Amino acid sequence: MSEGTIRLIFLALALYVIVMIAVVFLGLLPMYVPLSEVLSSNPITVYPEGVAKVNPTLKVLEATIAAAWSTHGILGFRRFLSDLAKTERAMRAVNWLTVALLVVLVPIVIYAIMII
Amino acid sequence: MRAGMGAGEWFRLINYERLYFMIQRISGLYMFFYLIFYRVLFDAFVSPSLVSSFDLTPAGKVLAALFLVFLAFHGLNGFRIILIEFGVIRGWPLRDPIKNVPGLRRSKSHLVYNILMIIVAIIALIYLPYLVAFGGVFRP
Repeated sequence: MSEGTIRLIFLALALYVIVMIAVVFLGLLPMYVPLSEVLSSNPITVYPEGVAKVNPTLKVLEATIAAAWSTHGILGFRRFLSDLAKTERAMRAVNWLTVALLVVLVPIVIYAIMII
Repeated sequence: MRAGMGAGEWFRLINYERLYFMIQRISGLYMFFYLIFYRVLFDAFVSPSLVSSFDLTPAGKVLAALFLVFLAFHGLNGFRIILIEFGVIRGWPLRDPIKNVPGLRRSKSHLVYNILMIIVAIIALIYLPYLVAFGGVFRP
């Protein structure tokens, strides 16, 4: 995969996360609880446990956000590691590590959201 | 200009774009480890009660507040980068005629976004730690 495609995926996932978190906090949650309560609560307790308790169906949406967020994070971690990699061989190792992290962590993150 | 300084490149402050870049990298790394290892792996698979009780301690609140402030800045600056890369904020490099430093991206829309971003970031810097410290636990 070309670096340009990776960058496009990286940015598209970031955009999805930014938009969907705003939609969840300001659009979906106020349908079940008053907005004032959402905006005066500790955000760490709102997302993801609070949202899942409000409506368990929202867990699916949370899982898509978490999957996008973790993939964005792993690709960002790849960018960090690629700053440190000075040879082609090191860069290949970074790419393999990225694939391994994606394969292992993304399903775990989705599972962690779904068992709330 | 020297290149290829590895991670040392992040801390070579020249202008505000470089400062944003440094904070973007550091905040991204912090959020990666905080979210993946603490909030997901530890919370879901090791001990949810331990995580919940640690979140209520001063250290847990500091970590959470730092996470939220970093999240706000990372999101705002990331959105700025997306707008630039997708061509919505069309800036062009303006170089200093004498000093040999990288050009800053200048356009009216970029300037407006920068000002809005700084205002929202300052509000987030005050409001989010306040919510973590004094906000109620969300119980729907």
